[in-house]
Formats: sequence, structure tokens, C-alpha cells
Amino acid sequence: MNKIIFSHLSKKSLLGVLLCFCVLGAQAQKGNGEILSNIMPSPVELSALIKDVGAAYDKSILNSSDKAEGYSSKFSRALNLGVYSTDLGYAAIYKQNTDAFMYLNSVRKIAESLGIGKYINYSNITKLALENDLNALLDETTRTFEKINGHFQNNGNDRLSVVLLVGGWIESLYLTCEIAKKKKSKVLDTRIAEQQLVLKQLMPILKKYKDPDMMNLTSDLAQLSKLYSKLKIDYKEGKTSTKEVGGVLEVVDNNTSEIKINPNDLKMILDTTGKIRAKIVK
Amino acid sequence: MMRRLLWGILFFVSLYSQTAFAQKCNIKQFKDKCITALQRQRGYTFLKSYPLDGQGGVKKKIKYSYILSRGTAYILTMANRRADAKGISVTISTSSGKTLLNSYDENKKKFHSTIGFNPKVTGVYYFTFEFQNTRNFCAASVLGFKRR
Repeated sequence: MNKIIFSHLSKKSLLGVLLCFCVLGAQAQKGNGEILSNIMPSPVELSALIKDVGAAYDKSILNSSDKAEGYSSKFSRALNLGVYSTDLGYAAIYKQNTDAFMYLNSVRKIAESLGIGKYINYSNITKLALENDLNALLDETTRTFEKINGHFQNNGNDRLSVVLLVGGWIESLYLTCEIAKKKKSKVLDTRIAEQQLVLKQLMPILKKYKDPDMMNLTSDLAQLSKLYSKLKIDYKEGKTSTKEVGGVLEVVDNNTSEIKINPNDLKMILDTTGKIRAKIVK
Repeated sequence: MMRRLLWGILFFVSLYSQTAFAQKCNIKQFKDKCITALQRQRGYTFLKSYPLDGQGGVKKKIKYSYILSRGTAYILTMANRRADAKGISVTISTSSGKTLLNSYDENKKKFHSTIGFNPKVTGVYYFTFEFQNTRNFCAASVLGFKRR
């Protein structure tokens, strides 16, 4: 009797336990999009840096907002959703509300064509933009893109999530490169060089995808990665400590790093970034 | 064998119940507190928010990572349902595993809710949030930045 019950129970319960493990496993395993979205610098940081070095707002370097309906494949839509979201952030940082609304409209069109329009709370974004509440606006837009990422991942479209992030990153690198061409700034040159770190995180993930669109994108970024590998970073480890200043606990960081940039290598990076971006937005 | 199997099933059922029926963690109110704390630090702009849902105690530590850039000052604010954010701490470490800071001061038994960091090296950094000496497993954190 025991044997019968055991046999009956063991089959069913083992199946249950296995299923349980699969679900827990799936929950524990982060998607590539989620990994990237956690690690990649926000395009807003680069836009703020551009503004901080004293560069004037330059609409001419942004992707034309009226091209939004021209992207036909899901791949190109997701890439350019990333591009437009960076352009939206750039316009918002400079408080160019008219342009920001145009780019918000482009984001909306592409998002709707990808079936993710429901995640964008236009009325709230508009209200926050009009109130010039930048922190709340950035919070809202960040959450929006987290929801979109979540949607792609939950619907087996992790690839589109990665593509969206790559589009956003390339656009922010491109904007920084274009400004660096016009305005000599060591700060901008260093920040462009530091994107080597982002590429190092990005490339192993991109290489996992074997469809033609992804392979083309990976091949383009591999060229860029090759140029970046020529940059040398000297790193010296120092002692770190902490101190409390006005109720804030601060890290006192005594590590140092210096990036050695050959002007010719930097020029190649600027040009190659421009070519990749041109292919993305065409 | 049969008994072991039944205990095993019971264990998974109880684990599932603990997760499923854990008090729902409403992050938004804590994130808003973090943004308010961020705005008190002059010149900082919102960058990212980190939901800290410990699922009723199932998860004691929650780890995030981010590329922090040299030349930028970062502020990390944390909030839970207590005014002083007691019970939630963060450890900042480098990609090589070196710990730079722990926001819980063991000697003073003090939880710092606002952390400042001006990295001298651009790199991947890890934020490991931990619920400590608390039954309150719901919190949020916000990362802000400004140019130095």
C-alpha cells in the first residue's frame, strides 16, 4: 500500500518540486536586458555632462523626430526607440520643452507600433515637464523604460530589450562625440574613452544573439570595440576610508586612474560612432 | 523515504506561502521619500531608483550594480517606513570585490540613510542592500548625481 502511495505521490510531487525549481530558477535568472539596464549609465548623465561643459543645445545633431513612422521592422523600431528616448532626455536636460514634446511624440508612435504604448503615461510626463520638475520627470521616464524592458522580457523578447538599450547608449555616445568635435574638452574626451567599459559589458551579451540584424549590429560594435582596445587606462589602487559630512556618510576614495588617449584613435572612435549611428537612424 | 518526501513537499509549500502571502511592499511611498531627501542635497539630479522588496524576509540582501563615472558626485538615499531608515543598510564595493563603505556603523549602532561617493575611477560598482535587525522588509533607494 505504502509502495503504491509512494509511487503515485513521488511521480506527482517530484513533478511539482521540479516545476517549483523551474519557476524559482526563472525568477532568479536575470534577463540580458535587465542586466544591461542595471549597469549601463543613464543617457541623462551624458546629456548633463554635455550641458555642464558649456555646450549650447544643438538640435541639428538629434535624429529627426518625423522619421518615427518610417522604421518598419521591430528591430529598427526598438533601436530608434532607444535613440529617441536619449534625444528626449537631452532636450529635457536643456529644458527645451517644445522639442521634448516632439520627441515624446516620436517615442509614443514607436512605442504604440511595438504594442507598448500603454506603459507611457503621457499626461503625467507632460504635466511634470510643464512643471519643470526634472527629478520627478526623470523618475517617471526611467520607470516607463523599466516597464517596457519588463514587458519585453516577460514576453520572450529579451532581444528587443537589449536593442532598445543599445540604441539609447549609441545615441548618447554619438551626441557626446558630435559635441566633442565642435568643442575641445578634456572632460568630454575622457568620458568618451571611458565608454570602453560599457562596450566590455555589452559585447558578450550581444554575441549571444545569432539573428542577422543582431549579428550586423554586433559586428559594427566589434569594430568600435577594436578601436577602444587601443586606449590605455593606468589604474593605481589607494586606501579608501569614510567620513561623515553634514549627516552624509561619504567615501574618501584615494584610487586613481588615467586614460591615455591618442588623438588619432579618438578621431577614429568619433567617426566610427557616427557611421554606426547613421546606419541605425537611416 | 515517504516521510522525507512529505516533509520536502511541506517545506516547499511553506516557502511558497511565505513568499505569496508576505505583506505587499509598496515601494512608491519610500521612493518618494528618497527623492525628497535627494532634493535636500543641493544640485543633485535623479538617476535611478532601486526597489528593495525583501519579500517578507525571504530576501535579506538585494544587489544592484551600476557604472559610476569619475568626475561625477553621486548620492544614494534610502528610506523605509521609519523616519531614520533604521534597518536598511548598503555596502558599496568595486568590481574586484573591494568594500568601500558600509552604511551601518557597528560601533555607534547607527544606520546612515544618505551616502555620498565621488569615485576617482570610472568602473562597475555594486550596491548590496541589506535588511538588518528588522522585521520591516520593504524599502527603496534612489541614486542621484551632479557634476563636480
